[in-house]
Amino acid sequence: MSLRPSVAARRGQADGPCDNRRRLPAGTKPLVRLGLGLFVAWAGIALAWETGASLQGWDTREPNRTPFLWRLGTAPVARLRLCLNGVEGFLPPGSAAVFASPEGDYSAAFFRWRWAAYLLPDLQLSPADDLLGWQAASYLIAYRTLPAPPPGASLVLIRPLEGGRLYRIHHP
Amino acid sequence: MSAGAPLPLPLPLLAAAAVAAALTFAGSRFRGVLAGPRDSALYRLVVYALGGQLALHLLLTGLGLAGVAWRLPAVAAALAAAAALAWRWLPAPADRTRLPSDLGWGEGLALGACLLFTAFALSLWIAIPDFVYHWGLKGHRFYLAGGVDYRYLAAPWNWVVHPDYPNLLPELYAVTAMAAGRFDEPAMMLWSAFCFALLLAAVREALRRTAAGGLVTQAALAGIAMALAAYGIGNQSAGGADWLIALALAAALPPLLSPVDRRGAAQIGVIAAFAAAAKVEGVALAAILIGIYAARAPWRRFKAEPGEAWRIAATLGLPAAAVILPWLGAVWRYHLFGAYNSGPLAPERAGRVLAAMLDSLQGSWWGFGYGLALLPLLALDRRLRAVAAALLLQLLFYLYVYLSVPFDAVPLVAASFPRLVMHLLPAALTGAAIALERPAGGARVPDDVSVEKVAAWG
Repeated sequence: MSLRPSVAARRGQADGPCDNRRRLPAGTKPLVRLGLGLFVAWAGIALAWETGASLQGWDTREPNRTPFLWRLGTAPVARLRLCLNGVEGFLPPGSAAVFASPEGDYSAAFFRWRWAAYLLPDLQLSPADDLLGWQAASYLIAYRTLPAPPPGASLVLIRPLEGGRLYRIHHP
Repeated sequence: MSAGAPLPLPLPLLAAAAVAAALTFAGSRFRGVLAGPRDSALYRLVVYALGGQLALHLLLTGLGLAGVAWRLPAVAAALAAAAALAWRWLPAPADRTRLPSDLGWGEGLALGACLLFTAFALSLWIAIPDFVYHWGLKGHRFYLAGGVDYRYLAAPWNWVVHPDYPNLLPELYAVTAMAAGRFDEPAMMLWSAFCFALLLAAVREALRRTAAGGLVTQAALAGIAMALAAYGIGNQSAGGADWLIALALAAALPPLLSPVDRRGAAQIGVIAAFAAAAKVEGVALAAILIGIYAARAPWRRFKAEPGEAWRIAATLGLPAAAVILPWLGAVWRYHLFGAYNSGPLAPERAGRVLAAMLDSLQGSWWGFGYGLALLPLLALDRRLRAVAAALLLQLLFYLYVYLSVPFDAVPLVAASFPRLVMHLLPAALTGAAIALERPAGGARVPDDVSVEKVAAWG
């Protein structure tokens, strides 16, 4: 291998660990300085604004937002968690269940189902509008609603939940 | 931020930090291959962290293929064995370097921005909805199941959890839960903060390595960190895998900005594989990074040494292949690929999609997103051509996806493009900062550097 200096070395860059400030260019152009200053100032303003807005959002968080806008630690999630506490650990792990909740704006039932799936990760949770899910499921978690089972199937109440009910699904 | 805030318990947070530290330590056992004299201590940490996380992913994949359930003793033993083998058989480690002790004002601001983001992340208030919809759910499920639960992913209604996505992030969550003894949400958020910190270290290294002036380095680092933190806090980004892709692109900057050599090839190989393990778009990024680095290599010079050429090619491509092939196998075996993912290319949508992309930048990036318009200009600087090519190709890949999804792409653009900008923007802004200033003396990279490249292989 050649012992010629590397490209980096010829360009004035040290190959080894180096202190950047030891090889500063003679000076940064005024226009570049201005541009960098504006960039840093704008980024600082953006960060300060977003921090303030986020803090304000936390302080004024609404208790009854549509599920599309739910966040961890908010009241609607806590209510759903309270309901699902009656299911967690009660059903065998890996059980298939249908989760039903009222329809609403912004696909409310869909997003409640996603949150329920997150809160019950050991269950195979399907939405109430999925026929395959009904066929595979042995249980129904009804949150503030009671859907009609598919033709031929019947529901037997297992236990009431906080704001809902847990049923066993009997298939024909 | 006090009343009702979920207080992070120290034990799971310590467990997450311990897992991150252990993986970085395991990655450092490969330092004889991954780090060289020109890599600063901070950048070495970046590469070691990525290497350790990649090693974990490969080990978990191997355990899954062998039918061994993920349990902490098994995972720790497998990781220790891999690290020991690397320590024993890989080349001698590079010389030691010290962490920087003289932080400048820009580095201080960057650190502050990162800590602010971390505080918000730990509060869970800025957790990304996708943490609930799939990343966190999968991590928790895999933790409970002791492995990737393909039967769960393959359920017809679970198309919503993106069952075809690579699983590095859920795996990190699962292992963190194993170490903590339970799935603790704030502990999972720590991974985003860790990626943010590593990203800043990589940006600093790129600026340092291109001999950018002190003002440029400090201002760029501070500006990029604050812009990224502003987006991350204002747009709920904690807990998602976008941090991993942004980190991969930033980590790829130093080798892309340096003369081609074997160590750079190893770094790109690991970074590409890390990206491929993180997200579907990371698979495209892996191919782009490997392709661009390979295109820069002086292959003609290797005619006399075909063995060396094969070694370089293997260093570049094998890690990504080791990630992608098992992933493709699982996707194929369990029919996980979503029919909604891709359809025929529809170029007639381009106008609407481009307009939607521009619209989506309003209100989410404080104007920084328009910095992507600088990408073609970066190619004017010879030092930055590889970086510009990587970023442009990745952006084109996103455009291709928008033009080929079998449904109206405009809502998808609105929902996803600001997040995808986050992948590209730190690296793009770093490139722009580098382009602002040339090294002292106005020295230019020679047109033909192939002889030096060959010398650098040794």
